[in-house]
Amino acid sequence: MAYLDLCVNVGEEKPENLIALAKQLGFSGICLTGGQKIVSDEIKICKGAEIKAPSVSSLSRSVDAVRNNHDVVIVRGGDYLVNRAACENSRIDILIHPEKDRNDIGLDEYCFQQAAKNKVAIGISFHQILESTKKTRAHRLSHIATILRLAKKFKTLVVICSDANSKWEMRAPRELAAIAVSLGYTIDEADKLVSTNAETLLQKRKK
Amino acid sequence: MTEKRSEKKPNILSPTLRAKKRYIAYEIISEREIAFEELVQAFWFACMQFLGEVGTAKASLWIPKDLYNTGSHRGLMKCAHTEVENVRASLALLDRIGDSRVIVNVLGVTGTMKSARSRYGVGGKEEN
Repeated sequence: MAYLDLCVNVGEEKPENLIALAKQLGFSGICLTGGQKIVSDEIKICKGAEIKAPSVSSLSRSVDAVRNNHDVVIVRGGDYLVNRAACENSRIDILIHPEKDRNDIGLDEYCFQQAAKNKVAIGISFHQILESTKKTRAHRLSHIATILRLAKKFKTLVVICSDANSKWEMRAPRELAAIAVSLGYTIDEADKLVSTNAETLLQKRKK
Repeated sequence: MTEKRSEKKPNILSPTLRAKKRYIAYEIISEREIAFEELVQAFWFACMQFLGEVGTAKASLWIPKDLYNTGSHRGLMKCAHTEVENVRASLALLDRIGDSRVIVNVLGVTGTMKSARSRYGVGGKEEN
């Protein structure tokens, strides 16, 4: 089974450290954002672009600027209108943490349907769960459980990413999948979130 | 005055009535050496935080000292067969043991200590 982590932020960490750890943890590929394109013999490396758009118009401009130069385009969610616009845009690959800083999941039925139609994956950010504690963590997990349930109903792609800012936030693929299992998915369904669904996104780009 | 208890223990349950278990082989990736006492505390804390008291009780965790190698940071823990994924998720959410950042990497899950030893090289007496 080929496991992929589609959102790892280079930041201050050396890419070589991230690649070595990803190989140790069992990933066959990762997507590095925020750095130069890197080639490695050990695992497959994709170049990702992160977009934090304050408005819908800036989102479209940002996607146009980065789409041709990057393998994966990731939009950071939170604002409902940006979430909705991201789901409607087939040039976007992942809408990550749509529930961030919200009291709801940030998506409605229309968003899930559009995301399924345009093959935009909803990204679950492990970093968001890791950095929270107590009641905040409980709320975030509750929102993620709702997203997983609705994504299953509307056949929307979901991927779980570490969204790591340092190597210490990376986790093995089965550990990431275990979060989905503890929120109601079966092991096979959860496994797809870190393998098959991620492959589907990369294939979409190739086509 | 305390009553004197008999030395006799209950009979061992038959295999069909015994709790089904799984052994989780794990590896700790950390900034420094992790002592066993710190590790046990951290594992229990992670499970209690994520699963709560009832969930941790259902998991039936057992982290034996002689199945942890301080040098290689590899060890074996036992849990209930229905709670493996929940325990995995709890360990994934553990990011610190003491003052050291850590990653708990689950190498695999087996039904017996013998198979964990042969597949992942953990849990043998010769390790210590």
